[in-house]
Amino acid sequence: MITVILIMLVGIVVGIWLRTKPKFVLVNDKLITYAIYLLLLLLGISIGSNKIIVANLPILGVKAFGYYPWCCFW
Amino acid sequence: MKGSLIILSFFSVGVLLGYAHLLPEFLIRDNFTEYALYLLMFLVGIGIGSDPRSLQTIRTMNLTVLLVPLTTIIGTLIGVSCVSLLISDISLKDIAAIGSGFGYYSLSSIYITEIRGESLGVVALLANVMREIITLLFTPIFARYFGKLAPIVCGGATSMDTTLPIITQYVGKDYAVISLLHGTILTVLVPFIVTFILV
Repeated sequence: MITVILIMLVGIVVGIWLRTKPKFVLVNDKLITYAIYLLLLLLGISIGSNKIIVANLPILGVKAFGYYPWCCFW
Repeated sequence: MKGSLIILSFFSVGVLLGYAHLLPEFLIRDNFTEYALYLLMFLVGIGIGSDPRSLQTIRTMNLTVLLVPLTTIIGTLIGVSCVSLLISDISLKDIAAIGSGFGYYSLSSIYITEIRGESLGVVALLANVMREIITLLFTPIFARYFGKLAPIVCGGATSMDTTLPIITQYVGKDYAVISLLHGTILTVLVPFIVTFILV
């Protein structure tokens, strides 16, 4: 977790340095979009191949799904 | 809207691929997801650093920013209490404990398994994983129809790492610091609140 924040801080420093080069900034936004897609693909893969989640989904998943809409609309 | 659909498709394809075991072993190991997150956080950092406005939020911030995690806590507990009316075989206390994971599935499921047993632990795992996934999938829609803070609150403790990139992308870079702070505060509070509820 801390690693993640440190990496972000390094990115921020690089970003400050890149303020003078606007082309990189535009490219960066696109890269972020693609990286998000990649992350979600990988997340899907790790969930789909997780035997615990898949095995329990029909029984327990329905209950777990009930929590979600209520928690998030606040 | 389009963003959510594309995200949803990538996720669904991933789930199917993972389920059908169509991929070589090395992709399935958790490390890959971690590295993708590192890459993403680096890029998000660049995005934040290159936009002078986003760092300015730190200067204009005061204690009112604490209202965001507070709202998440209260909202989650209210929501989860309503849900407990629909689910009769899990007690309100247990349901509140699950909700207090705020998306932090790894830690909360371990705590809950230890105090209440594996069955509830798995429900906690699934519920909090779903919270994170649905934040990732529906942030574009939430940002549009429920306001800029909605995805942050939805992400809960995950708004500091896994959902921060998508929040930054669809809500705005100026909200990144709020999201980070919100996530950090909740992440720290999860073990305390869960233990407090269950003991």
